[in-house]
Amino acid sequence: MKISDYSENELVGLLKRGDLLLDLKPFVVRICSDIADMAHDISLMYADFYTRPVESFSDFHVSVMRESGVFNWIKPRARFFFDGRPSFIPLPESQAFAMLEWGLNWCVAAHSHHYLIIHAAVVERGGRAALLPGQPGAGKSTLCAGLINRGWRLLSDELALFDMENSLLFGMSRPVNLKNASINVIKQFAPETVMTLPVSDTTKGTVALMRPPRDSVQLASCGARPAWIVLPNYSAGSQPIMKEQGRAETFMLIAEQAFNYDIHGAKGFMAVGDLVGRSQCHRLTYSHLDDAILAFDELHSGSER
Amino acid sequence: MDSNEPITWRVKHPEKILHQYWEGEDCVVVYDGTSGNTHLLSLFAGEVLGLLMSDSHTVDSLLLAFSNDLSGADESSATGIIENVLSELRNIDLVCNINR
Repeated sequence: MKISDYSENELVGLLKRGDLLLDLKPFVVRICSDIADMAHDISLMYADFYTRPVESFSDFHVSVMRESGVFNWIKPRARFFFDGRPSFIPLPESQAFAMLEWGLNWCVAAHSHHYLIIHAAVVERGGRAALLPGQPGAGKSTLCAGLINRGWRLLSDELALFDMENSLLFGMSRPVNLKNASINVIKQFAPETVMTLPVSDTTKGTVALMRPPRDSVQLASCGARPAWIVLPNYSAGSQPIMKEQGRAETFMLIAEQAFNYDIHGAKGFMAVGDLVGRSQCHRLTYSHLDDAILAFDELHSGSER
Repeated sequence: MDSNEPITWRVKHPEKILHQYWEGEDCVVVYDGTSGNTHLLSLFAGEVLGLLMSDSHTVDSLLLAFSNDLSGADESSATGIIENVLSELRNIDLVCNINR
């Protein structure tokens, strides 16, 4: 069944019992929560994802539970648990769904070492993937959200999974995490997108999640060949500049942004070399989303010529 | 050890070194399997490392080996360039002095 096949009340029951198994290809996550709004946000954001039967295997068991105690009665807080163990500090209950998303990212980044996991957005067009690594604030989620509203397929806005054996990129096609000004930028850019209510005062500022496009979710298990690595650099007032970037320098950046590069040792070194070697490497400075998307479209059409 | 004996350099663990180079680039990426560290080197430093992988060398023998690359430099600055590269490679623990 799909998440959209359940009523919110049914989701509340599944979450309370810890019986919601969400298929995040290639992972299955068992989610437990006693926070009522969680069902609403899951229903909103994961509508096109499939569930698995309750007796199925799951890779990660996670919970987001209301904290107990008098203080929490006045200002309710929630905590993320992984395999029954509390992980991270409690956060205001209003941040529960965002915490689930961050917690899932952590689960994948910290445990899924059959992939090289890179802190980067990934989008695909015509079977060819563009990897967008970058420090927080570089604009990769905003750019990713813009691209997937203009014909590119979403693989991920946050975690690129590089299959080192087959040289393919995957990404789960999960909701896009938008922050601060980028929330309104995307609302104006693509008014039809579905978002959660913005939550303010998180460690990342104000955040809202954007529902992934249905086509992207349906193709989540299809990997894409790396073709471009583009380092986005949002710079207010700047003209769009797409500049070639050295592969050796790009290698160092990818290695730095890969959560498990050190764990893989020589294999990780060869994998990053493979990824970089297969890709045209660029640095894109931009201030307007339309300009940046045009630059990506030109990259794509250039590769077809 | 004779104090006048020229210092001879070699790669510490050549069997643990991997590199990646892309045609036309002026840098090379090197992986040291002993430390697990990855280094971005200038192409010239990478070439010096490559030569030291196969055999030990003194500054003079490196000067001779790279005479074409350093033909534009006078003798003292060419020596300085080689010494700087060796110093850089020693600081990141890729090469060592075998006289000691």
